[in-house]
Amino acid sequence: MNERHMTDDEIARAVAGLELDGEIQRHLDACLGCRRRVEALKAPLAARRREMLDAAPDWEAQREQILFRLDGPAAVVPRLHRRHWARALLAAAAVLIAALGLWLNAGRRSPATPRTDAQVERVLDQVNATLADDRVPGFEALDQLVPSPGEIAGLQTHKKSQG
Amino acid sequence: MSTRERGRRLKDVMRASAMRTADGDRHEEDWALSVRAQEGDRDAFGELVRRHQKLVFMVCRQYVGADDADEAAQETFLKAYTKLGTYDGRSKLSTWLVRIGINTCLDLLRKRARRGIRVDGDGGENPIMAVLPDDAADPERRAIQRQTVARLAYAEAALPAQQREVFRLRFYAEMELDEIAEALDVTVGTVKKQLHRAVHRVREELEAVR
Repeated sequence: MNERHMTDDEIARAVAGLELDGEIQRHLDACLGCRRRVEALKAPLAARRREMLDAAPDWEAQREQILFRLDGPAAVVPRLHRRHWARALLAAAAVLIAALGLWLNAGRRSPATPRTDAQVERVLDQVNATLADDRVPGFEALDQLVPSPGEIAGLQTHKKSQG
Repeated sequence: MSTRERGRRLKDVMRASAMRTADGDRHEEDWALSVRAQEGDRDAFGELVRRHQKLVFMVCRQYVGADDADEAAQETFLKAYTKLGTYDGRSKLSTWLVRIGINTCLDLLRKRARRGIRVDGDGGENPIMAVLPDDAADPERRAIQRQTVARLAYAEAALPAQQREVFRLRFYAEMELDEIAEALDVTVGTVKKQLHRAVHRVREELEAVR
């Protein structure tokens, strides 16, 4: 064993967990006095860390809280997850708002007169034109839900023949 | 992928986690979990939280103090969830989370400073009044340990900012030197130098009152 005890600098290195010269490391392993000097700082450091951990939250509760908050307004769902349904939903909302706006507008212009079939058809034509616009993302998903212009025309013919 | 299938795959990862402890394996598992979390698998994200919440909390604790550490840690994970698409797996997930955590805490400290609230990273607590664990057997030794820890807290608070940051991340968040370097965007050599100086100073302070 190296008889020379460790310097303050070497003790600081040992406390910090920095690499020590091979001979110094062997001395530290064998010398109780030097180990005590290292321990004299490591012990309060460990005690202070324990003190901080004692004030830590319940980990499971914290985890649940985080997962719960993922649904809140602060969290945004990752893009990959959002992509599939968000576009279709946004497109559907846009079409409904546009249709509702046109319908209300037509009503406001002539409040005293009842809406004619021509007015309704004009609104439906505009909705169909919007739906047929391939540049609007997500409309492909709506194709299965909304009848095509041909189907609408067929329905109208059927309605007239019944009337 | 069905919920059952996702559950089965998650169990596989957890089993693998129990069997392998090597750093590289852990990194691979984190990466796999992050990919699944990105696809919307909440169980996978929950597992990531479980793996890293203690580290993230202890990092936040060093910056914003005891009162706000929990909130800052939660905020860190919420931010991480929204940014998962930007994680490329080149660094460890833990380091990536620590970086988000540090930025979250710095934002909080800036807000506090604007509102004129004291910024000391210790939440305004008085270390002298801190309740310490009683792990020393006799009352005299307990009292000495309390005093030593209180002085340690003061000595540490008196360190220059970067030394204090490195010191706390090393001893309380128990981060490796290379992780600290990456999180703070400095070299490992700088971390070693700052840490060595910090320990030296703190030790001198404690020796001076003995």
